[in-house]
Amino acid sequence: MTETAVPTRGRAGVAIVRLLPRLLGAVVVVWGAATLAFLVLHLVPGDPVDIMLGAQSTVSGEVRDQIRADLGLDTPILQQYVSYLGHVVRGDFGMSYRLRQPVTTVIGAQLMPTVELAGLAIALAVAIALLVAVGARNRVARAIASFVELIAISSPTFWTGLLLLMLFSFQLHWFPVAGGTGIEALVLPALTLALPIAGILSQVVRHGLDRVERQPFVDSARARGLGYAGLLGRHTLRHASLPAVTLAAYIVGSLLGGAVIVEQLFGRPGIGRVALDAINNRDLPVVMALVVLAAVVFVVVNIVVDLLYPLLDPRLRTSR
Amino acid sequence: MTVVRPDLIESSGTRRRVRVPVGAILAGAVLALLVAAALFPSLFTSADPLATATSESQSPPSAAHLFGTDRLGRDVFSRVVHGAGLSLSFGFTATLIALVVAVFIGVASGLAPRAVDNVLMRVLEIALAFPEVLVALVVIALLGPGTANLVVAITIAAVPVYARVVRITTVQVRQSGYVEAAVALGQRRSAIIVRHVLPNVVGPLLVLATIGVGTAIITGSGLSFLGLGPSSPTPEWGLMLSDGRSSLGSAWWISVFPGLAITATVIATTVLGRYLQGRFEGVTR
Repeated sequence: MTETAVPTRGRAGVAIVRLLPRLLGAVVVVWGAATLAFLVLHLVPGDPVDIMLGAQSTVSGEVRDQIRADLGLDTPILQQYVSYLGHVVRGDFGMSYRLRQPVTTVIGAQLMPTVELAGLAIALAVAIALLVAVGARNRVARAIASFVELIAISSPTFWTGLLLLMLFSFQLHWFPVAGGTGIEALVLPALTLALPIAGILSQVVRHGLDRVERQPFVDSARARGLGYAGLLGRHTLRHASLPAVTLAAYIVGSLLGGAVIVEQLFGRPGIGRVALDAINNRDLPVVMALVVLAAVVFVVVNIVVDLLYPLLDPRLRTSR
Repeated sequence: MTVVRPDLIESSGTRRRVRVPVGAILAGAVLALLVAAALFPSLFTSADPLATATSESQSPPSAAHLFGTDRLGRDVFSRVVHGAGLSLSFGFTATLIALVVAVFIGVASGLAPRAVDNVLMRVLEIALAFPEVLVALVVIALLGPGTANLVVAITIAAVPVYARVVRITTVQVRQSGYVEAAVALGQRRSAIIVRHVLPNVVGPLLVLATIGVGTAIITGSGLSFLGLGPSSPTPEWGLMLSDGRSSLGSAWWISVFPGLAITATVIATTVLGRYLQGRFEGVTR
């Protein structure tokens, strides 16, 4: 990263100048993902029309040509590429091979369950991580915390999910085994998804606290008579959480990947299930739309982090 | 020849004694056991992992069946032992191939003209934007499910991480004084790569790869849990967990032990990787 001196022209001006290259980078990432999607859809062996009609189809050649013309598959590849990008910009990813519905409709219908799952998972992960990091303040507690974190990070979600089901659904009957709507059906899947993320976050925040508490400004705050809780609330936790914020994109990404496994494990609807069905059926338009969606999510999270950073760290507000 | 550092010269004279922590020794022992199980499963168990016995369906752990039996009466311990081979080969094969590919891409990018380097790095950055599981899923969507395709998928997913590290190290070495000297002495490009660039790349890569093996094993068993890898009778940890799902309420041992095996493997590689990281830190940074 090159540090160029930006003349002070108010906070908004600085923010825009700081964001501009980021926005450009964001466009490049999404464009890259869309291009990859297009290449995959067109270069992978297998005629889309054949896949759409199914193997046993007896549809005549004329009808096939008609379908091909309708889909624009008879135009030059460059023209198809431009038209594909145009459609993607408008949120149109074509038709699903299998479901014969627009891809956007297929994904849109399943978006909410996954957003709920991911949202609760993040909330749980942050809560658990903060509790552990703040709680583990002596040698023994630290050693235990670091061991528990290691286990949380190293356990595959499909195993922790099964263990949680065994304990809370089959032994204690606190939560439904599978299906169900409402919040009680959401708790175990969200917890499963949250645990490895909580492990990573807790590790980062714990080390952050250790580092920050040695800083001179902490001594000065203590000298002013601030207690441990006040110190945490006003100063140290904020500083310690900075490195964790940079992990946001990684965490959201791992939520998307984890959703595929957790939704399958708990029999929940959602984007993960759509993805798995599409992969099993080679429904490439759906798969590639999800790739572009993941790229957009990644890019948006990164920009939000960029905007959030100066709010958390006052040192970044001026001069930069 | 590597970067000359005074602190290392001193230490080579006095031979500092390095105390290896208990955790790292344990981790090494676990990995050694797993490799032994993968190479010679018959040393650990005489039971056939595929032999079914409906009369002994879902019997709990006992002296005869250490980890109990599954729905078809197959010995779970034997299946866990025989499963080590596939899981480790996901981890090690994928990581090894990924490393070789990454060294080629990374070194080429680091030594290439600025424009080529920029384009390659942009592509890697886009690839790095996606979590490994998603990349692997997309590759399987293209190639179709199966054991071989699974390994290819994990490999491709792992390449960008390593390639970026190789490229960073390559650029650092290229800008160093001794490479300038080597160029001035008229050494050939290939000789510089082999004698100066590669030795510097190996250290950081080894550390990353140790942790990467664990990630690859989790990804691999996760994909086979989803039914995208090896098919049913094969003893594979992820697949066994997927089978055990239907008898969670009645036979905990079917899914507890394979999961324990995965977790133990990943903890071992992580602990060993972190230990190596600690030791190499002085050399690589």
